[in-house]
Amino acid sequence: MEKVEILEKVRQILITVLKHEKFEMRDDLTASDVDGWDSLTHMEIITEIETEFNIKFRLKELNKLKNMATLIELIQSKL
Amino acid sequence: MKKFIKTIIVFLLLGLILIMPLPIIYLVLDPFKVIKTYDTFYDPNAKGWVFINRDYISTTTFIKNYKNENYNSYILGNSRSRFFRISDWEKHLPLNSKCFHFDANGESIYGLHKKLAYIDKRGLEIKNAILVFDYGILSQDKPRTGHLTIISPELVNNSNIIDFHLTFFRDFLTPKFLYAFLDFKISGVVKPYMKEGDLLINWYPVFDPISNESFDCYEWEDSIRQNKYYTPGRLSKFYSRDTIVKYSPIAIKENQMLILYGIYEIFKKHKTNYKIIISPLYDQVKINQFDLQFLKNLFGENNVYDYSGINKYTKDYKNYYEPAHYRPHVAREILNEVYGGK
Amino acid sequence: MVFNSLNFAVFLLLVFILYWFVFKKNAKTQNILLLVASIVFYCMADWKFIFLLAASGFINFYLAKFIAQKKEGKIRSLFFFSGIILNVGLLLYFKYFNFFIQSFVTLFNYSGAGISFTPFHILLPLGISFFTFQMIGYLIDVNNDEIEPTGDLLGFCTYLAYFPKILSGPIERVQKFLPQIQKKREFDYGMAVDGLREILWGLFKKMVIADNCAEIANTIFNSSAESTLYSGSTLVLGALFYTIQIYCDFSGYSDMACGISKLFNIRIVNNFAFPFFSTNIRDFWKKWHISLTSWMMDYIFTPLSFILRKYKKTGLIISILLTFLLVGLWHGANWTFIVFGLLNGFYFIPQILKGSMNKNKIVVKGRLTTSLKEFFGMFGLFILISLTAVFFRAENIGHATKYFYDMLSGLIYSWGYVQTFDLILSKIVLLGVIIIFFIIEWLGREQEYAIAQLGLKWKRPLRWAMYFAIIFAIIFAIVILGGKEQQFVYFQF
Repeated sequence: MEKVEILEKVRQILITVLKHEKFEMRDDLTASDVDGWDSLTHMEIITEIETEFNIKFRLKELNKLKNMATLIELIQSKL
Repeated sequence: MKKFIKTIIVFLLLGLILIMPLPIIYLVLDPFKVIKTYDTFYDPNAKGWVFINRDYISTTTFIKNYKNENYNSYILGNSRSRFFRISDWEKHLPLNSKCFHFDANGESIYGLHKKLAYIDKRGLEIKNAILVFDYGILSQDKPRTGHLTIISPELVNNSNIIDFHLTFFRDFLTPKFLYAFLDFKISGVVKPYMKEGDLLINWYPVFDPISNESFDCYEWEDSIRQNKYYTPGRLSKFYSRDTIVKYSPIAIKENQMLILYGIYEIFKKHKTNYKIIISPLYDQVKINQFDLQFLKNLFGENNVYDYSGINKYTKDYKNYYEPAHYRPHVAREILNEVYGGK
Repeated sequence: MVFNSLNFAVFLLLVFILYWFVFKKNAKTQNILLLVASIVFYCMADWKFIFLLAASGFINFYLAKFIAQKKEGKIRSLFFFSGIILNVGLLLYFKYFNFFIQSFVTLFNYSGAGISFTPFHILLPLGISFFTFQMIGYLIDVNNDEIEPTGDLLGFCTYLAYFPKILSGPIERVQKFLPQIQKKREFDYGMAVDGLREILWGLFKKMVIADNCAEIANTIFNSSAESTLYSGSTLVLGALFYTIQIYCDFSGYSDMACGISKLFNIRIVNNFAFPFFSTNIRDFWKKWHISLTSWMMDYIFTPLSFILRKYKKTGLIISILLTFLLVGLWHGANWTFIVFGLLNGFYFIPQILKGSMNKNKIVVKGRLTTSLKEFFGMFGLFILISLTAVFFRAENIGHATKYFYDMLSGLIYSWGYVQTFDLILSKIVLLGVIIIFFIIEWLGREQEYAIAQLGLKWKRPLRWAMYFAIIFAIIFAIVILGGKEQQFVYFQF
């Protein structure tokens, strides 16, 4: 899958879970930049991503995520 | 860093200058008379007075006179013990008895023990003693706080000297006192609100400079004789009591026992002729039987007299000036009963 | 040694002088001083357990190195789990041993067995809840390859024992702290002054507000255990005053810790961010005791919710409940704390189900006043938290339930608690001070602490007048509280 496609799907997931669009899908985007993206919603987002891309994360991998770029990379590596 | 230190020093100096007036005023005025020495604590010519710590008065009077006076008989207790008159007590004592009222307001068993120990250390004899107890004294095994009830430093080897003076300074600063005190100084009148909490008083506390015996009751006795004392205001303070016998909780716990042993040891050493009197308090609450039994076991059945509870003294309000203090004639009758054998 | 004592002031002055004038050569000497000072500090508080603290430092330091040296596998897991068990075991033993046994015994006795249990006389090492959590977090982060274990034993021990945070937190993360002390710290005038201001504000919160609220709350709570002296409305007040008390007490202490650390040019994490200006429970817990909550979220909630993620919202709810049960239990070995935690966890459920989120991290950012809705949101949240605070304060479940029962059954408006005129006056003054306090907090809610920016732009005389006003308020509070006892005592005879 192309990076652009992944980005778009992730963006949709964020909008669905967080119920707003007040963010830009930049590489250096982190959870603290986005309203409502905290430990509670994080798990929802992760679960949605797993379902959407039919992949399974490991906790260690999640802990190492730094920003949107690393998230996309991680998704790509599992496809 | 230099700038930081300079700034801090200037700030602290400024703070010191701002704060200075209060301690200076306090030291100069010495409202509680604990800083300088005085011939009299209460100026007979004044219209009102700051209520002085009674423990401090008793202790300084004792220290001033004991070398010359050779006291050998002591009445100890809280303010209730003041109404045991020396003239009444002397009748039951040998001729060479020299009596001293070593009382304190809000006295504790702790303070009482310290006084006896202090007398003992000065090498004086304790030939006769009366201890006037109640639940309040017996249960209090630690020194009290606050300017009215804190114990004098001399009695505790000056171990509380800093706390002692800080207490007075701090109580001087409490808005209630400060305001009342300044108001009194300016107006010269003791207004009713100033009397709350016994900060200031408008009755003159007379006491003998040698025996430390209080004489303020004379005025009240006079007033009673003229049927003027029991005003509606005073009468309203006498609340009604139950007919059911009530006991106070156990006052004598481990600590209190240790202190009482200490008192007993001093009496034993001096072969003191002592009597322990449990006050006939207006509340008619009887001392806990465990406490009474302990006292009797330690001090001897013949030396402990329980006047608490419902009896001829506590039934009649006229035996009291107000619910906290019984009159001298009650004390006199008690002394007669207690020394009755002689 | 508590921060608000003369002893500590002298200690701090000494350490400050030694740090910036004597041991200033390099990072190492500075750290040596800090470590020694921290050991002295801990020993003055509780010398019996200094060896436990030292042992904890050494063991965890070397364990972390062993863990990182090994690749993933049995040996690595062995080291890791040993470390976790050691740290958790330490905490369980000292803090919870009696509680667990007693609870089992009580449970057993429900079935009719008549076992009795005399609790062991186990002394609690001071700060154990804080430093074991720091060590556990460190081991987990190293095991997850999130950080490299440090080879700086001196730095690590300094981090562990660091006196501003050893007794009451914050729970500092190694990766935030260690880099700061591995460089030589240069004196910074601005930071030092900021530190002093923060200490002043913390002292004000603790001594003027918290201690005075404590006096009221204690009177009401202590008597409510045995009897029903006060009306329901007074009990409500008791809960509210207690809530203000713990906020001002703990956040005041945290402010002081932060400010003290700034004097040494070291930043430690802020524990509070004006939690009572939140309008929902999630926001609240992101701003209350931040270092504990974030620790719990990172090391308990996240892994737990990850494991349970296939149960979606149910999984989240279970995770939150368990996490907050632990948050509660962390505070003390008592069922009341467990209920406190669970209640707060339950408060999350509506938000989890609805899926709503906070629109603004800082309420009413930039504006001066709130909308009516936001104001009621904050007020409602305060009430909700106050209800859980009753459990926090109560001595046992029975006491708490009695408190609620009395509160609901006697909701008449009486001021039974307040007796003489000057007591009323002092309560009114206190209320006034609390209102002014919350206004100052509100105005400064976008800062690190309420008065962080206050007066910085003023001329010096005015700013210093403000400092003196706060200092006099603190002295005044000490004087007022001090004189209180005497009044009660004398009336006994």
